[in-house]
Amino acid sequence: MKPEPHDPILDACLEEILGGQGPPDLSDSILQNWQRQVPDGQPIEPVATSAATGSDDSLLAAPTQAAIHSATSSENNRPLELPQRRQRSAPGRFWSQTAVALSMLTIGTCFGFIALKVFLPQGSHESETSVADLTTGQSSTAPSSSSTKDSQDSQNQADRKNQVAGNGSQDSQKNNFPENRNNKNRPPKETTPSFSKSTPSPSDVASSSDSPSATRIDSLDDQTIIKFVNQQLSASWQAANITPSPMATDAEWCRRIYLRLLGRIPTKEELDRFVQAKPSANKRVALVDELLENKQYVEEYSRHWTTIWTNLLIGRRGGIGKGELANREGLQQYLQDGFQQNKPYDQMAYELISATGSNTPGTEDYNGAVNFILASMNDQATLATARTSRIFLGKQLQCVQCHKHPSNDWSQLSFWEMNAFFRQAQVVKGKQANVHQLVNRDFVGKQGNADDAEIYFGEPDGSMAVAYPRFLGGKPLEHNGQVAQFDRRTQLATLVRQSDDLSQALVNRVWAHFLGFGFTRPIDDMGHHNPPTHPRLLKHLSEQFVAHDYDVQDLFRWIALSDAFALSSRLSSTNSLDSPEFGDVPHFSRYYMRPMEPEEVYQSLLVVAGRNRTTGSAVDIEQARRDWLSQFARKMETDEGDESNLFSGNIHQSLVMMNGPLMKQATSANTHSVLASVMESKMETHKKVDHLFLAAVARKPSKRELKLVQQMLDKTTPEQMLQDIWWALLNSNEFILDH
Amino acid sequence: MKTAPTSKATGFDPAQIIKDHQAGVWRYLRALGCDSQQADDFTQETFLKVLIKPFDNYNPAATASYLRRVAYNLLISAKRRDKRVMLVENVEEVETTWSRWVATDNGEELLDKLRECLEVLSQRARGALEMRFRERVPRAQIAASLEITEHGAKNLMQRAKKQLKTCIEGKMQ
Repeated sequence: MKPEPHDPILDACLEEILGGQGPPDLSDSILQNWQRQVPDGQPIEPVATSAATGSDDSLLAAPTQAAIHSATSSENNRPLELPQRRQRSAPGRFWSQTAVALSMLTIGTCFGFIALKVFLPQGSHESETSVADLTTGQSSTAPSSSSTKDSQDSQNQADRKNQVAGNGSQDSQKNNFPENRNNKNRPPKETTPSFSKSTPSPSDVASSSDSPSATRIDSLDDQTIIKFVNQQLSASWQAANITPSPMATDAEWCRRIYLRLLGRIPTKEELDRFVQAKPSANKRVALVDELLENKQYVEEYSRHWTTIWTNLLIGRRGGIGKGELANREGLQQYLQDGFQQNKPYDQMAYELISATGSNTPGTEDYNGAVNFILASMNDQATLATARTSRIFLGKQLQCVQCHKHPSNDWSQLSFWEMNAFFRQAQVVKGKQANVHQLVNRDFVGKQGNADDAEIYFGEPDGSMAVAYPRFLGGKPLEHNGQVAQFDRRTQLATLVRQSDDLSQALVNRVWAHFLGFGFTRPIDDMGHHNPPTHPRLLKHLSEQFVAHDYDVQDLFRWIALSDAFALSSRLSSTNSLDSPEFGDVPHFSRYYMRPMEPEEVYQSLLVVAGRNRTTGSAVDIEQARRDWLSQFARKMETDEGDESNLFSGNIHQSLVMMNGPLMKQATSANTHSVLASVMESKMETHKKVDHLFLAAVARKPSKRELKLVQQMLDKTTPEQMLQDIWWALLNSNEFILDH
Repeated sequence: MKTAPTSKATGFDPAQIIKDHQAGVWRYLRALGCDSQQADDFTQETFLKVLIKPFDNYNPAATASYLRRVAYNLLISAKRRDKRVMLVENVEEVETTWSRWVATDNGEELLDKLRECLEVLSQRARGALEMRFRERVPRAQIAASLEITEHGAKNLMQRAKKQLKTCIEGKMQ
């Protein structure tokens, strides 16, 4: 008979209540061991604050690695001696005996410790660290700390006003934004001062400016930043006693960079051009630059990132069906223009949050950016609140809509204060079907008083509470609901734009896009309760991202040209512990293999079907793409706007991949497919096989595969063999994996 | 004699942090399937890891959450090193339930509620659980003692635990 199902929490509690197995007091034991790890009476130094210095002294890769690295990275510290794990019998007795024997010592130690605590000078700024920095090698100012921070922030705000748009109208936005930059030729960037992102959240926009200057962060050149990334990762591997996988081959690297930047695999010609190019230190740099800047790829690059951001902002099915407020095409057009011009990310965030205008291209007052808020405008704009916080700030507020967050300071009030920013937004239905306008109208609150426009929300106990606009962790703002006096969404957009969280959330997201895992899990749930695995790296990249005027292409370069992106995906015995797929902390000591997104599979199938350069109506091409993708995404009609992804190795996916029309085109010898061109060529048969392998999976066949090819040749014609091999390659796991 | 290392950081009081959070970490590890000795070991290791660097006790919930994460990482790293599977199948569910049931009090309130809920169980059900968890008798013996089949004993304890969970959830509302 099977044992009864195990309920871990309940069973543990029952064992404690009924079985008397309660938690022991381990204080003495822990303090004794802790004392042994640190030299006598030596104060524990908080970790260096500046990540921007490029120092590689301590990367605390993960909570679990932090202490080890901390102890080993400093010359003054002995290597960390963790206590021996207790053995079942004798060592257990040893512990208890030791505890008794050392009790006197402990008592003395505790007294000494307490005395030192009492007499130590308090309030030294540089030593304040947050929980998130606990294992990080960084210190940061505590959110609740001094007035100095407020004044710094104020100065920061004042200075920023010269740098970024304030809370003005759309026109003023246009005038105040920095020019989009043309990155061609990419000379080394000057060390332009930017503003430190280490100040607290800029919620006190309106606060006084009589304060000292904010710390300035210089923008570093790409090489320096990439070097810093590599140093940090290297230190992390050392601390975790991991040897990274060897470097990926040129062909492997080429396939993955095309997938990450353009959303498709390279053609055989593109692969050959890169692999056969003369080896040089700048070979990979040149390809990244080409994919980002060459006119030939601008369209594909912007389409790929438009797809990613459209899916992120409104989901895979948002803005498509009848009755939808949002217009998917309108949003895509807005995003595509932005990526083609390499629009600064903070500007994009600002525009998406504060936009007003019509949703449909070609209509009067068209502004594609409105489609983000329109797609999230349920009755109280709760979806807009949750999405804005999650996407742009990396904060998952949706839970606190109904109850207090279990592990941080956010309450229901936090959610509704953010929600209050959206209450001036109104949808005006146009005369044409599916044409809608997003406008700002005066909000008068429940009491009908625009000077004190409040919102109410229900608390768990059934009572009602009131909320006014207030940014997460920020100061209270005006209660006025009149747009002319206080444009709430524009104010929110300004606050988001000035927040540290904006750059950190994006860096985390892009890092995960390129490397499979972010610094937090999930990537959009950041905060004290979920500290990043590589905090210094995250901080440094975020600061540099800001210093580089939120240039996303620069960020792509830094990550794509890092060692982590260049490593092989093969797991070896030296880094077998680096397996975040099993819940472990990611160390990025290998390239984490992952399935392609459905959009990437579609575009890659177009490549092998020879249709990626097909000319035709953009509308028809997009519609064909949308039809194919629509098979794999369904709305789940939840409050959070969730969708199910059916491209997850199920039967439906298998059937589409095996027998779908696109696959038929790709495996037909009568079209412009790779197969057709190979079969028509005069290459020798084994060269043709090589060609197919390289085109599909960026490698030549193995000896075992060649043997199978020979066996097939013995039984069938070369044409049939090539067709079968091609079909098998395109239906292999290897084809749909980014590896 | 060695003295305990001191911290320059304000708000960083190792002794207090250990005192405040050790029971919560220990119980969390038990919920992840550790026996009491393993829980002792990993609790110690968790604090030794985090105490190496001073930090502000930002708030009890954040610190507790962070300590749980470190404990969890230590546990799975150890399991992976030993090439052993995790002790509990659905760790995420344990984490979610733990976050919902245990806020910042190390689980004391949960235990109080469980004690109250045990009181409302039938005598037979409570007796079965006491034999199982207090006296650690095999299920066959529990069945014999209650004059039911082994299946009956299993069902009785399952129903009792389900009733306890429902009762706790109700009290947590």
